[in-house]
Amino acid sequence: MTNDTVVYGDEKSNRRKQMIRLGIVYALLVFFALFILIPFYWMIITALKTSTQVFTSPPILWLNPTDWQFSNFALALDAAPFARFMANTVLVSFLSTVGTVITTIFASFAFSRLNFVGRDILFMLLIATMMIPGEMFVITNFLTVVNLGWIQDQTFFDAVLAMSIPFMTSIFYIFFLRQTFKQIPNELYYAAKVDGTKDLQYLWKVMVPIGMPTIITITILNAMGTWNAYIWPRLVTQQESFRLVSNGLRDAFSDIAGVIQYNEQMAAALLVTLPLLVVFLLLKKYIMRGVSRSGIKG
Amino acid sequence: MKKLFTLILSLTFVFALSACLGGGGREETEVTVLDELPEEDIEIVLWHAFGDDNAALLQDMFDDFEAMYPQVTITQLGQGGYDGLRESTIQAVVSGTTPTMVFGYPDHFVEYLNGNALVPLDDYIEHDDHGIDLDDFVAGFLAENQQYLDGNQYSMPFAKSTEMVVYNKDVMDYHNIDISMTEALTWSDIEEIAETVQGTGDMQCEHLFNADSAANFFIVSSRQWEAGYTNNEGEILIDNPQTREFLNYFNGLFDNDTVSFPIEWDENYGSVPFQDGRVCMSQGSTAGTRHNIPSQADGKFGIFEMGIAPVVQKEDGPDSAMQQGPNVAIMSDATDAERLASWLLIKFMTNTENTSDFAMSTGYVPVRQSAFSTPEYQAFLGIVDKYQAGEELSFDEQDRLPYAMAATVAYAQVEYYAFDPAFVGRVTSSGARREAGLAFEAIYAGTRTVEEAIERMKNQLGG
Amino acid sequence: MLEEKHNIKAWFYLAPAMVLLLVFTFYPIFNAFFLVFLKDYNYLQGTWDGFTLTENFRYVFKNQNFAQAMTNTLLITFVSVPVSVIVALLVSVWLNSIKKLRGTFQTIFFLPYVTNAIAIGMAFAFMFNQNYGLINTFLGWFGINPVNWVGLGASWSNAMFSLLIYTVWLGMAFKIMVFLSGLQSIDKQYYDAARVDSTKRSRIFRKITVPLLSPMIFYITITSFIGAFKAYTEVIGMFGERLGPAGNDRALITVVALVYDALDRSGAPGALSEAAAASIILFGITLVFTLVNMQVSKKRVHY
Repeated sequence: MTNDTVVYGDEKSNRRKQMIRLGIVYALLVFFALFILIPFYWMIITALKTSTQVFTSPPILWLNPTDWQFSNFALALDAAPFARFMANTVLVSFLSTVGTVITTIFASFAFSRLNFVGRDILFMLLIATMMIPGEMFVITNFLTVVNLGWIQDQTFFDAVLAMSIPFMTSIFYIFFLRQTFKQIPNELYYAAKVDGTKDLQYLWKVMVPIGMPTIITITILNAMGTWNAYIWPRLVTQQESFRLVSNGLRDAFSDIAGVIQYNEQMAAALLVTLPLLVVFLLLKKYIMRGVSRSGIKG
Repeated sequence: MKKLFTLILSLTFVFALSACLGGGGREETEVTVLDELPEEDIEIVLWHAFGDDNAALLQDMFDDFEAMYPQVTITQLGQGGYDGLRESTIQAVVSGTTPTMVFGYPDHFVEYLNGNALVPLDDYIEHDDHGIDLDDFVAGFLAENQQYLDGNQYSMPFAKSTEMVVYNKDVMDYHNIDISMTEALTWSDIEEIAETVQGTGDMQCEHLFNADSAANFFIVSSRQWEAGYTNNEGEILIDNPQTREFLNYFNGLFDNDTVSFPIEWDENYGSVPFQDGRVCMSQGSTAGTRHNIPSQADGKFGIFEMGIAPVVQKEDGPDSAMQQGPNVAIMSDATDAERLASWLLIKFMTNTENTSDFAMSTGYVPVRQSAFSTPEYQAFLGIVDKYQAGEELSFDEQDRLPYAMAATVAYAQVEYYAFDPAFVGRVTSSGARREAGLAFEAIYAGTRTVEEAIERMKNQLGG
Repeated sequence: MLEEKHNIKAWFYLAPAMVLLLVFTFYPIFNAFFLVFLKDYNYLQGTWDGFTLTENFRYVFKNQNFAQAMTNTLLITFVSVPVSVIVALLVSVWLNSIKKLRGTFQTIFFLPYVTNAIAIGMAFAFMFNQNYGLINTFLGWFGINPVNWVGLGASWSNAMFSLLIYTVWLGMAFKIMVFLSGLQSIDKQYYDAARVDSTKRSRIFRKITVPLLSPMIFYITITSFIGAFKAYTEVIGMFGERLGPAGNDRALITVVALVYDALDRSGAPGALSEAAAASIILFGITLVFTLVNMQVSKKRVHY
């Protein structure tokens, strides 16, 4: 009928508009993706260059596969005890991440769900502490860690404690998760209360699953923090074998003149960050999983 | 609420009080030199800023020492560079977790001395049994370690480097220019060389001369032009006619592209432009020999022959070359036994054989006169003689030739090495040296005139 | 919404985090506030020469570079944060709207996190190179002469522009991740309803997406501004210790750089107090701004 014809015509032009719009979106995404990719590509190609190629100017942007210096990767691993550093980093990362996730979940629950004296002031106070530059904390925290006995006659256990305990919580992530938790409708809570659910149960059975994308994101980011940590581990460790991956990466590649072997360093950097990429790829779908609210049972 | 408030208040009070607990609170160090090294186990922890290569060489020395004194164990820890070393050591001093020995520069040592954290070595040096003959040490190296205001010597030189000029020998030969390995060129010589060597022709370079470190360039020129720079008390003396004189002189050379800094090519060192033929001469650290060895087949001159010469001097002015490289000190929290063990280790590390070996393997300069005359070192320097006589060199000798040349040049300048005085306060010696480099760079870039640069340097160092 | 107060219970939940925060966050800040009122504090000895109310603050204000540091810090904050938030928001929304290749793009946008910081600095130095850099090549297609962005003698404005782009780049990965996870949580029902009504896309964006995403936008905005006030490592990453192009040193100095300048002399009396003073001054400015920001946002954040 007339309606059908009109609908049919509209659909076709709509579909065309949709295609164009989709095309533009893809084009923009590709543009930004390229922009994002450049340094990563730079890292890869530098890892494949010879020492002299690294410094040619204008820089070499493309190498024939036959010229790729895979030897850099072997040399890189030799430059520092990376296996040891990786193991240390995984351990410290695991401890600090587990600690962070637990303390964050509990604290975010309190800030988002509970009503208590001084809640807003305390929250504001916590945010305020983010406004002080990090170096000011390092000095006092080092003294604290000494007073806790983790520096004198340091054992590996001491070093691990010194590197993980100060990082077992983060206001940055408490704030993040609190936002997510606050988006969970009050009705859900009241309904659960009516059912006789205790707060703790509600937290773990309802809020955590809903907030999982955020929690997974926090897990990944915290793990990465340990991977990139340099100043603090260098300061608190009293032996080379206690150190973390970033220490090895930055310290092992310069010679007495202070000139850095970039190709080997980038090769090491790639090897060392590969696990992070793998972790991300595995956990990616948990971040992407959307939750349809109506599907939540009490 | 009131209880909560009181709790917070008292906590604040406690925290505030404990803030004073930071800081070593050390009295001035008392020195008692033990007669003999005790039999009990002694541990030495040593912090340095070397990379893994040199750390391995240190370890060899330590293994030998441990064999001589079985009760001593040495643990070394690299701190990732001098900044890291300084930061870690300062934190250690504050928290009472210092190592037994620490490497460093006088810039750092004056800071540690603010906390009475170093052991004065004079009693050890003059001791009947454990003493050391300072005469054998290069005078300039010792002076650097004896400059502290209270007159004590707090450190010993371990390895030194200086600056040298690498040049493109192919180009120089082509223009019949003879450059000596022991007699320094003067700036008039450089201007003369520029007339034929600088240009765009096939056997010419667009830029003639590069100076790697603008800061060193400023400081060394100050001495050559007899211009004030700084003194031990931390006074900044750059506002004088002689400083202006050399700044203006070099500004002229900047203008006709005769002298440049690596920033010309967005680089940190001149080794890359030197190798690919954009500059024909480059003045930089003897520790950087390896990076200057021509290996760029695609460069303007391909793989050319490299020559090395001493640092350029001013005609009719005092000769001067920069002295750099780490020294080693003993920290005052060490027990008497640890101190003696450390002192014996220092003696061992700086004995003729070890300082000579370390120098030959690394490119540093030995710290003792006698080290230059050991058979090994003489053979090492002898490679240069063979080369100059046109004799055939073995492969091993060919590899070592550049290092032997650098060592020859370093030795030729040994009489006039100088260091800049160390001080710390609202202005520090490292701050002054940084400003000197920045001032020269700004003049080079044309962003500031000589007057503006001096003005800015004064302002930044006004404290 | 009046709810009973759960004071004790709340403190139980907060305890794990608070213990750590008290020791490793609040205690150092107390120290800083204590230090700033000391005269000639000798860090190595733990002694000082009496108390002073304003001397350490005066040292910071009288610092030659203070005005420049403030200007740069404010500029970086008020330009790079809005730009990067908006760009990240758009990219996230686009990403969320496509089906094919979404995973690939998501991984690509995550890559900055696994890219070595030194590599990033080098890559950007290359991009902005005057002679063969990407940007100048791109401009060359439009007939524009090569610009000296970050090279020898580059101007403050060119260097600042480059720094802003670099800063925006650095912040993108995290923002996109947060927005994406927020977008994923938005109930599809809202979008379906809007589609049935044939609502325009921009209207959907403004009336549905943004409000539903507002808690995350709030979080990102507040934390990004706070982070931007502390800008320092970005400048080092791009220009090294010189904090500016060669010949134009300290052109891009920031307030946190002043803190580091003081810490570099921590062995000298009074240096640590000066660092504390600079930190506290920055804290004050950030606090004022954040309070204003929160006040303004109150009406726009919907939970």
